[in-house]
Amino acid sequence: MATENWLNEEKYWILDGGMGTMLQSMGLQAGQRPELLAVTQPELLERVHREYLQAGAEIIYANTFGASPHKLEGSGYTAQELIVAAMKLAKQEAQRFGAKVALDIGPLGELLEPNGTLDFETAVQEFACMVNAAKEYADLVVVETMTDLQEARAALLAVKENSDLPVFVSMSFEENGRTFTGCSVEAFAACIGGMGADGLGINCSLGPVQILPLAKWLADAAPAQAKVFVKPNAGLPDPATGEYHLNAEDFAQQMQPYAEIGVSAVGGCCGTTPEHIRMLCKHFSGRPAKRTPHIRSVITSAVSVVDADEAVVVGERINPTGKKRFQQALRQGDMDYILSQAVEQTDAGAQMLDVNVGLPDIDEPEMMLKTVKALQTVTDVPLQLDSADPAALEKGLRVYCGKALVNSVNGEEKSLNAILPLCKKYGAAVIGLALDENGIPPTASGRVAVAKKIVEKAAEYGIAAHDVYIDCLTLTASAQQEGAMETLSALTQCKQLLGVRTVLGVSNISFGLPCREYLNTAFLTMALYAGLDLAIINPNVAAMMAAIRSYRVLSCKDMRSEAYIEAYATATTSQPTAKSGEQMSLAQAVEKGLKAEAAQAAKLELQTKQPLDIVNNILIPALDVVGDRFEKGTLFLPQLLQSAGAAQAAFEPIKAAMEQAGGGNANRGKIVIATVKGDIHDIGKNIVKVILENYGYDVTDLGRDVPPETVVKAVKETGAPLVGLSALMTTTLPSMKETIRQLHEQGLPCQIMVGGAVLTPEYAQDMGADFYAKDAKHSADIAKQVFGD
Amino acid sequence: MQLTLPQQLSVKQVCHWMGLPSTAQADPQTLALAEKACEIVLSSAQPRGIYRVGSLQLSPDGELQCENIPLCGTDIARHLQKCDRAVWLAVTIGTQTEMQTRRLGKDMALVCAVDAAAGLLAETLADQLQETIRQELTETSYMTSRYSPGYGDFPIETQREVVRFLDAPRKIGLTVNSGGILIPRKSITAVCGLSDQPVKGHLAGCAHCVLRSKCNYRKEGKYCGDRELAK
Repeated sequence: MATENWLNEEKYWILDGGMGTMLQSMGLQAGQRPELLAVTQPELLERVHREYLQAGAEIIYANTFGASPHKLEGSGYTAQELIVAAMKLAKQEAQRFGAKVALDIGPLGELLEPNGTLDFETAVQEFACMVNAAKEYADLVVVETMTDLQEARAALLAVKENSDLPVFVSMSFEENGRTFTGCSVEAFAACIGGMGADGLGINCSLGPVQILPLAKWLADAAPAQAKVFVKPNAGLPDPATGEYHLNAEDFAQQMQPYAEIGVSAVGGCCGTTPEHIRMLCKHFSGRPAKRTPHIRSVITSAVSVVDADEAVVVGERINPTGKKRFQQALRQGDMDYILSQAVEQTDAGAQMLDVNVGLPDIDEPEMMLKTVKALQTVTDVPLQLDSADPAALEKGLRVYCGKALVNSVNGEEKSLNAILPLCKKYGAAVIGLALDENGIPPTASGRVAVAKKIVEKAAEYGIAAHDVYIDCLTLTASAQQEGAMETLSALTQCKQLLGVRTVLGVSNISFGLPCREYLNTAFLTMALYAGLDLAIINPNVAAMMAAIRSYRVLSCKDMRSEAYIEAYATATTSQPTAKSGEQMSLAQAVEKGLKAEAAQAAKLELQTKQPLDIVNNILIPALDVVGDRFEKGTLFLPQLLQSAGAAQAAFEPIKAAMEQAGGGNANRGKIVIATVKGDIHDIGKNIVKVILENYGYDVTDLGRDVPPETVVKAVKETGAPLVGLSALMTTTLPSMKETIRQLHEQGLPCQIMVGGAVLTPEYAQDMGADFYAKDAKHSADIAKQVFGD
Repeated sequence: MQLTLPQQLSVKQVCHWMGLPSTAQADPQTLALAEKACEIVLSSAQPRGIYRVGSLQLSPDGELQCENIPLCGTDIARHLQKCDRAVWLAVTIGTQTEMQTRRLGKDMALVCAVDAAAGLLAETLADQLQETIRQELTETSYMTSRYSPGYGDFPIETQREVVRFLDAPRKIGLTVNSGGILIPRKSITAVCGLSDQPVKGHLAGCAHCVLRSKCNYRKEGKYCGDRELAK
């Protein structure tokens, strides 16, 4: 922890008030950049700082809120020069009053992935530039007004990686206790507190009255060593004028209850003036009340907080071990399949997901990075990053938005020393396997001893016992029958003696025995009763979820059985499927766009026909029929897409059959597709992908916002004879043109088709494309032309 | 400010936005798809909006502008004729709906339906906010209809200045990415002219529209700015 002595003093710290408010009252126009004032009108800033210092502010924020390199593009000044100027003049004023100066870091103005499109490392670099420019002059750094937890993380990492300065982080919440992107107060406290911020706060958006309940949550959830602070607005703004009206006296009055919840620093945001700060000083002097946080073991995303007290289900299916289809997906970079596994598990009730993407023949760190990023676009549940490779763990931890769980360390020094520092840096909790260089201790006491060593080592690295999850290891009952009770006994002891949480992979218990589900559910129930907190299971198995839900009822975790009733009240109603009624032919099902029926019909066909014959003689002709009707205008896009969906559903059993028959596929040729750089509209491109795949083409989908170089590289690597490029907006047509230029320049023997809302055949020709695809159906026709029927 | 979610969205309209011609009857399967999409959108959307009035001026080089927002092109100038002020507005349905859409994976029929329903919701919210503004401001002024960057020859890049003027990232969580695209995606920025004399504004016709050669409305002899069509 980088807290310098000055911050440790047991006193209230008075912060300053609104900067923008003051500057506007001095004549700053809307649309003018306030950051430029440090150079153009330094006397204005000096005056604002001085007035706040005279009013009693002990920490002032330099005028650097929006001074990131990217935001200042086109301003005629660099971030470096504006920040140095702003810091110097603030420092000069502060020193006269014996006060401290903070580098003020505000949002970059663009949402980061996964909510937006800005890359995490780009954001870290932007903030790092600000920190490096200011660190010579700053006493601390304040990251404020954040609404995106990922951006707050990026800023905090930038501060910690580039300086030893103490750092405060504050976010802006709405009255429901969440930011615009859904981040909750608790998730903020767990994640940013876990990463070691010296102060956690709330600023802007609301007035003192509205922020108070949120500040109580924060005071309750923030780690003990962090200071809690608030900087509310002067009430709520007038919706028409945007002006604030809460006067200084009332503001200070409304701030009084904050003294009781244990805040240690107070100030004001929009609409507050030196008068507001002067009044605050009267109420906040001397020693602050002691804050007693409520310590909980939580794992979070930005949106969801999972408490280990709940008997938590961790989905185990994102893991290649023993799963051929998953291994294939990893090798081919088939992210759609991996994501479908996440969606399926969370729909089934998983509250967390284990993420293991290790295979000997792939680049695991790179795959971990891609997978964690992609998973966060489809699910809010917290992730458990599962790898033995510290490099892979770090790649995942860096971009994971929340407080992750790392799976795992063991009692070996090498493992502990490599992985615990990463957990500390990124604020993650950690799983400790009760084994070491001598293997798995056979007795419960042996495993508790290893667990104790892990807990002690974690403490050395600053990780508390409540963030350590011990895995006492499930042994196979068919091989070591007496092991089951040893495991459970160790589990109970660890929890009681060491203050840790516990986790188990359950399914291993039944390996080698018939009807594994029976043993798995029995062992799961026993383990829960023995004190298991996190159960790593396959949530798609109904009996396992039933065991968990039943346990929650019987242990009074699910009060009034609400969750149980919600899950099972309608359990007897089954979905209408293809089983009922008359059997439909595969061609009919595809033409009508009926998924379940198509899958069922495909399975029937597989009993008598070769997979490839079904594709060539039934599926593709059916798709052609639909395509023709679309062309003639007797059937429209919604129906075309439903037929495509039915064909996809039919493909699943066919693919499985091909896999079983020892490989072989319907590959009719390779096609690379992408939405061009600058464009993120990818629905059209995705439709094209689904339709081409249905026709049996092997499609490499590069995604959206794809740089020309990436397209060139993919075409070189795959040797694809056809490339499809999509752009929706006029503003991104130049980047489509550039992509085509680079493909031509490299002399690649591929043909290029282009499509998108604003494209015309003329544009396409001008850009040097070989084909203009007016719609998705047409792209399949072009593919036929290129590859032959 | 928080906007109110409508009780429901027009399923027929969603089918239409998915690519069904207004003359075609939606089949039960497509209707069910649209209904499901409306449900997904209405249960995930977090609607917010903001507006702010600015004055219209001519810049030193004779260009129309509003509080440093450039008003380039002939279409927007025509729309704001006889106005001396303008009210800028922005609405967004938030980020959650996008995640729900991504969860659908390759189910493109439903993805398209959700995309259509989300777009329709954004339009509905813009209507709602415009109506609030009308009630607020038209006691003293006349107000034109709504006009968005990207319509006619009014550059879509203007969105960046609008978002800055409205302080939209801080106030409603609406941002513009480096490619000039609004994030969250289902968001709208627009401007209405204000005047002391009666004004209606002129929405852009098809003349400058980038979609004019392939627009389905136009093929049907209709026009996207027709409010009746939206009902």
